[in-house]
Amino acid sequence: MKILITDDSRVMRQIVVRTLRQAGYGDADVVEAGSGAEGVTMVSSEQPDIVLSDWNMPEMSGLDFLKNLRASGDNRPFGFVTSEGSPQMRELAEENGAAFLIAKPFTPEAFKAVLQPVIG
Amino acid sequence: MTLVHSGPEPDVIEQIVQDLFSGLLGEMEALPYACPHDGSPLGVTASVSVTGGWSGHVVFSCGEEVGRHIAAGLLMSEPSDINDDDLSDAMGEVANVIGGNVKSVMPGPSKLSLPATVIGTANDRRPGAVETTRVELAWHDGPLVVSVWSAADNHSGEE
Repeated sequence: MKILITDDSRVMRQIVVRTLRQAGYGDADVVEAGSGAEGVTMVSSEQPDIVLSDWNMPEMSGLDFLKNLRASGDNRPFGFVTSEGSPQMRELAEENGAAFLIAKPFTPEAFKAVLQPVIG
Repeated sequence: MTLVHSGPEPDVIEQIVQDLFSGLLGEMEALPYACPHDGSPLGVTASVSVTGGWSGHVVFSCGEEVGRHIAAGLLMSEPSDINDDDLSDAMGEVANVIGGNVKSVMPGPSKLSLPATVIGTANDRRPGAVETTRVELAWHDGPLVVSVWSAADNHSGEE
């Protein structure tokens, strides 16, 4: 199991790694990208089983990152981990092919609840 | 046009901060508690702006030592190991989480800016904006202040 975490904040990437471990995904191989653009490159080079991405990032937003993947025919599971969890943002995420949206602040239980149906 | 300055209720902000500290810093850490701040300048300030259905700024401030404790808690390291980049990143994320949640409870649609952090005493006057909500807390014996500013372009649309 390989998980790509994309967030411009190193602090938040580290928190997501820790939360994944607490949620029972400690054995997963985790790779990290610092922007949506880097995420696009790493999806190609690393072939992760799932992508977890921040929404609000410089250069390329998480939404544009998702659109880029879907436009290229890449349909691997993609979920947002973002501070913006309004119904409108959730709808926008779903419309563009995201499997879920985890709102910050989050708990390991929140991760488990959305990841289990997608990656087991 | 009538200026309508609005902001979230203080208890909404306090709950966001409590959830943030309990969720991201772990159960071992004590939670912030309500504590009046004497108004003295604070050493680190991070902010985000919201633009759209509601426009304004969300500002999180604390002393530098408390900021290093927050960053250390988020990174699971020691405050003495926290450099300025970590401090800036951690404070920005705190402002980002609070700002994203504020955006969600205010009228939309709107956009959230990337966070900006100032290490050193910041001049927090915001011309044209009005402070609508202020929450003063304490953690690790130091103040944490969250303030929400409503921007001048929040109009009712009526003469």
